Amino acid sequence: MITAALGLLLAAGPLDVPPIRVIEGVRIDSLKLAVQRKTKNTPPKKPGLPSFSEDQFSVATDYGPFKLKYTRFLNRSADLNRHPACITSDYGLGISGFGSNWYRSNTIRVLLDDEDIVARYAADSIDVNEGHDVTRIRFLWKLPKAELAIHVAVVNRRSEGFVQILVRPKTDLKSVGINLMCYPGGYGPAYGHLSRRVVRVGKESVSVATGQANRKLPLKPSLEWLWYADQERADRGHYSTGSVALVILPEDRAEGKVSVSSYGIMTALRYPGTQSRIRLALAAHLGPNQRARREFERSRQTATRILKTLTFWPE
Amino acid sequence: MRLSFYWIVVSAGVALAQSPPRDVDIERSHPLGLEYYQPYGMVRTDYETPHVKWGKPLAGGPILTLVMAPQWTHRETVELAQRLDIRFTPWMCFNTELLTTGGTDPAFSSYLVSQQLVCKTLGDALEQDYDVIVVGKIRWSILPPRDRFELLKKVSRGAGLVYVCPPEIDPELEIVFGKHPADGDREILRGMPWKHLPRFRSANREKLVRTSKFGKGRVVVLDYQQPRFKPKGRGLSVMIDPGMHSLTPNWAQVSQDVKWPREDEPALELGPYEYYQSLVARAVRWAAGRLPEIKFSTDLPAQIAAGQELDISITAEGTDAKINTTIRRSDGGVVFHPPGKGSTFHFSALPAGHYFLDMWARDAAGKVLEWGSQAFEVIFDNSVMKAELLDRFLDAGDFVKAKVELARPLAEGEGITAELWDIHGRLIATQKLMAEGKSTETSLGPLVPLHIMHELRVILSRGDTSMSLHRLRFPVRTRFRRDDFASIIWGTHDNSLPTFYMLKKLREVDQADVIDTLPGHAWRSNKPSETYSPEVEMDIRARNCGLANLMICPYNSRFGVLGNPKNHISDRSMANAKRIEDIGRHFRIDAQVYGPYGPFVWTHGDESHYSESPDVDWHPAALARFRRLLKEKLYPNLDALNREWSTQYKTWDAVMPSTYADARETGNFAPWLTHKLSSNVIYSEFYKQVGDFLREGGDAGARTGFDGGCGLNKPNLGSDWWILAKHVQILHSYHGEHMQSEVFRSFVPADGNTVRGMWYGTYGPHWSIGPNTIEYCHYHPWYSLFHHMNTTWFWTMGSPGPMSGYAPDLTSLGFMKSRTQALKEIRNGIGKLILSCPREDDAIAIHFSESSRIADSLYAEKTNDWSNAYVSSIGNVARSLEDAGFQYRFISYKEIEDGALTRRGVRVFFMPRSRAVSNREVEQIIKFVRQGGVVFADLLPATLTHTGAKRSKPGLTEIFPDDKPGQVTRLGKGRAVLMGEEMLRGYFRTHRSQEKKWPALEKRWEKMAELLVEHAGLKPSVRIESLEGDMPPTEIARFDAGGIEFVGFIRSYFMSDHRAWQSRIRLPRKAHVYDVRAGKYLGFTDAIARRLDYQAELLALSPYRVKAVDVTTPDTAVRGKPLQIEVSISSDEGAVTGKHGLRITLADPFGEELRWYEQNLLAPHGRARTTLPLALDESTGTYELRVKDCMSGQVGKRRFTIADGAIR
Repeated sequence: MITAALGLLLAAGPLDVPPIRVIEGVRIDSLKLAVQRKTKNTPPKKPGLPSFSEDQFSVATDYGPFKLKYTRFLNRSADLNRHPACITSDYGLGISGFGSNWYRSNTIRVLLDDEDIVARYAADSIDVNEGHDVTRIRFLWKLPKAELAIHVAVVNRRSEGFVQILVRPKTDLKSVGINLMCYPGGYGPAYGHLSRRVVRVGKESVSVATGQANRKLPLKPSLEWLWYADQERADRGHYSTGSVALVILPEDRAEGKVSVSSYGIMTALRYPGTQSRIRLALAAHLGPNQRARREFERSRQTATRILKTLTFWPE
Repeated sequence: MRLSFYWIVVSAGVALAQSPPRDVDIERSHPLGLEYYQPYGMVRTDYETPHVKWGKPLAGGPILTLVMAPQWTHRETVELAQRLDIRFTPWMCFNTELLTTGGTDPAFSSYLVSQQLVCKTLGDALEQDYDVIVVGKIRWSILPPRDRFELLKKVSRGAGLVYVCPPEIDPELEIVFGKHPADGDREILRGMPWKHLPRFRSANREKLVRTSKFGKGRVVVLDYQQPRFKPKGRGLSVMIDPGMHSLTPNWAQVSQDVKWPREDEPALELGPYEYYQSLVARAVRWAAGRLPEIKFSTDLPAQIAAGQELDISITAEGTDAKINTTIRRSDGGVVFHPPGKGSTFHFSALPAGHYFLDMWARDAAGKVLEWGSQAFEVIFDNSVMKAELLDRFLDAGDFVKAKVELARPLAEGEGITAELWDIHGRLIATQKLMAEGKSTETSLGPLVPLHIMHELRVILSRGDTSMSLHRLRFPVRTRFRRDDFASIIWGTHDNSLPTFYMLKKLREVDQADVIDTLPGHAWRSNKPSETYSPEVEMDIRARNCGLANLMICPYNSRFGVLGNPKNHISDRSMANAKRIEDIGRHFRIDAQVYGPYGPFVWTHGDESHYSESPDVDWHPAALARFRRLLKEKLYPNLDALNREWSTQYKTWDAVMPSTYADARETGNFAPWLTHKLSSNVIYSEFYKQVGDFLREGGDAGARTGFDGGCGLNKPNLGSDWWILAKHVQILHSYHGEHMQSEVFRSFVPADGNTVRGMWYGTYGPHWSIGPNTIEYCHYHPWYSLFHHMNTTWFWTMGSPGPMSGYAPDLTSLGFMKSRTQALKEIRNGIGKLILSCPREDDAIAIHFSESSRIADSLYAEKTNDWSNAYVSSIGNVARSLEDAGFQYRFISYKEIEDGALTRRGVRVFFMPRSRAVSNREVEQIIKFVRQGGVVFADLLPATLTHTGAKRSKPGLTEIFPDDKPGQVTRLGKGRAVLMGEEMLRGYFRTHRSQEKKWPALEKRWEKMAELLVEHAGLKPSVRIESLEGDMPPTEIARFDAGGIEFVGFIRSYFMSDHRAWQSRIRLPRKAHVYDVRAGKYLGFTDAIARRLDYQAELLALSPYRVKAVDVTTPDTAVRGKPLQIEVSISSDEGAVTGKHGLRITLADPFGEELRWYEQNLLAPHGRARTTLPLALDESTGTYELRVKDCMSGQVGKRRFTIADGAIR
């Protein structure tokens, strides 16, 4: 369902699409953003361990398939409660979208009072709501201390994945945290290739090249966007590709830091425990940095408006 | 002593010449803001092809048109825009079935765009207003629903829609096309001679053009009723649309995948194409509401008699506008423009044939109101029924002999003439024939071919009037560029207009000489079909290349790659005589089909090798050859073998090889290693044998082999380049800092008959480099020339697409322009000159020891069969020598055995990982050292014999007493130095890293330089000093032109650092220095300043300064006779001693360069003679001959006159 405000907003945008449109007697069915879900369950290797489950989601859009992946151990029965859902950083919820450098195996972690909920617990439910303009996927955790929902909304003809984190605390929480993992420019450094990762926030930027020590970039509450890229090939007169970007609502007043290495980059966003809603847009670009940056600049304002007005899950 | 030539900034007061800026001036932008290499979205009208301006300029102004079509068919949009006044917006999807495709291989996917971009560009396009939207053969349902709606909304509001051959009429289109039929078909087809066009002859008129109304919009459906071929595949294997036409009908196809009626001749339909475009243009005009009610009427009969002059009445009902007309042959050629007086137009006599009368009505400003055409036939009761060449294999110097058969004997007053033309339009010879009865013969020549395709015209005449004309096109073996630098392009050759003009542009603009990959009979005969003939396809592809004056490189089979079969026995054994004879069956057909076109070279496969398995081949035939090698070459007798192998064979037939595993385990290497030596022999002999089938089957002198190299890093690849170079005429590898090219350039036979080159192209060399760059395409041709390669091999042009050096509009992408610029310089004389000069090697040789290379895999640290350590070892030496400013050549085991070390004046001999050395080599190496030579080795050499047997003590103990690195041993006048492996460890790997890692070389080339000075007293002849701190090393290649020394400089692209450093070049002596690329004199000096970047530099050090280029010809030339030319270079200093390269061009009386007369010429001692074969139809007037000296840039000019009345 789309709010009235969003309906206005999208009068010239992508979301006010009726299921069927008719012109001079020609009926044209709008594209339904259908979700293709592949689930693979692997029984436990040893008795007493949880089974493993992988869900792959592919959302059909005009721009091609938007991809998500969720891998975890199903550890929510009482006797398995001590086994983590994600035993390494290669498990979890990956929102690679149209690219792959928001880490496709583990893009987002949510921390409540510094406890990594995604890593610790398998989601209790996964729900899909398909639409003609927006398709939504909800990952829900029901925990003693809080209910946590991660909503991922895929909007037709948008490059970003729109993410909402909802927290309904059952006890007082001191903090809410989000960790985002990306590898702008790809995974070449794992194979010995040079890199120079760059993170830009407004006019500030930090870069770390192969062989250099990791660096940190503190984030201010007025934060609106971050841009992540690899410049190594650009430094050599070639095109660097595979940048990613993050759009944040300034009213969410995120603080935190970005930990930059010459390989992976982790963005840690921190909020007070009273923060019940956080909205993010994750963009991944296949093309060269320069072009991707231009596209991002052009589309950022709209992404912000969609974040503000989108209903992430129908009432 | 530590030397540091490069980094010492010498500030002595030397007068320095500054190099002129020579940036490669190529735009690095894209209309959609994409990367400059990206073909998507590139549709410009810059490249113009011959066309009829049907509706241009159009009365009422341009029609605003959106053209939606598959990416690689958009040349047709340009073709439409050349003929009709449209202001167009192009939108493109990948093919008729897919918006986009993807691939994980960056070589391919770099040239693809995302679906986001394709959708966004469509969305953007549909936000603009148009008079007409044209959809070219795209499946309607692949368009996103939103865009289908927006498109139909535009049509419903009044925009026109022209839908060409919708692949499927789905329910949406059924309503659009069918709900409100209109009768626009009559207006569109008015004045369209559609029944006389080959693609429409059997078309159903009702289907050909259908019209309807959709809201306020006019809709046209053009249905050409052709076989439809759905592009196959996804990702890397995805196909673009066969046929390449999205607006007009596809021409007859000749592909195995396309089942086209066999009787339908796959002709180049350049003439009919004009009328196909006329139909599309009329459909666009009708859809735009811009087709007026004007109707042409004529009293031209459907048939008229040959030789008859007549007046024809032509009127245009509905207007009093001026009419003009053209008579056109069915092949598109303009015959004449009939002069008109009022409504009467005078037709001159025409020979028999099919013609079109084209008519235009124009307003007072000359803008087109309407056009129309009418077909008619000119008839004569006699004609040439058949003209047939008596010999299809024609070479320079031959006469063209043909038999001619007439429909009836000549009547009183009739005559018959034969003319020989080439496709440049030159009349070469003419002959009046005497017919006996209905047949006669002609003999025209001798041939001095300047074009591959020629035309025999047989003209029947009555008095002075031509009554009938018969044309026979045929190829002549030109043998262009056999002694010059040539450019080879991998491309496909569909029978389509975009492909035809791609080929023409490659030849005429983009410096291409040869098209690779024409298929062989073996490729095409595996799927017998009633609708397909391999020979027809092969001939059509060769013909289309020939018409563009491109030589061919048939890729007629692929061999080797024997895999890892059970029991090591290959069912494709390269020693199996039966299999070889079977190949011969196909190759003889190939020679018959392609032979007349004079292939530049034949390749039997890309990326060939013998086997990746270390143990193949134990096929009986392969074992027989193995035993023969043992018996005849490697062992004096069976006892000697048994002793070395610890075996007890009673007969040679009982001898068996061992496996790699056995050899490693037992340490008994010889039974395995010698089997690998026999693999090399089998591999080489096989290529020689199959090549002979072509030479004996019709292409005598054929140059044959395989391309892409076979690698050096495994023991059983067949890669003994010393042997190969004697059996194949292609010495070839990929470019990417492999060592193969350095090896085979050292073994080039002296007969001048080898094709030497490397692959490069659109894919870029490696994923970390990405798609091709301007820098890389500049670098590769120059690097090739400086390494004495005589060709470049570019992969790929496609048809064009899906990967190509061209955009869909046939304009060159940035890297293609860069390649063209480099090749143009090289091909205009510099290349021929450098290739004719010996490459200097500083008296340094590197051991090429095939036995050592094979043996090295047995010492691999990991239990595998790779010889990477060996390749690295030779690479370490070679690259560090180059970086230190030296050159070298490889010298083979056999050459050493034959005494080359002492005979050739070698001063320094490197033995990288030379473990397996024969006794005769040992003797020669010791002799070399005693006489003053210096030997460097990285590890203890000659621990094995050349058969792999372990020596009781190393063979070179006399000069390498132990394996202690750093040890220097003196013997006689010379010495030997064990360098050890540490000094250069990892050097080659870092050099080829393709990342900016050159600082990691840590200037270790200086260590190499120190060694050479200390032990051999060798210093680099030319030195580079950086004036701006550390810079990447630059390779220096020098060529001896008999007193003139040419010095080339090129930085490895794989350093990935293309920046400029201000540098000073120190020369070995004071000389008159020329910047050869700029054609500029730099002064009499021994030091010059240059900004060295990624671009090649070529300097000439001359003992004299060129004063003038004197050209002598007769004052008057005669048409049809060779023009004699003499050239003489003069200097300020008296004698001209060097070899010069000359570029000869000829401008006609109108100042146009006649490109077919261009020549590159060598001028030893500055003198040369040549001739130009003037045609019989040269224009009269004054011509200017220009002769440029490639070194100095000086141009000599000479004018001569061709007077009227010369012979004909």
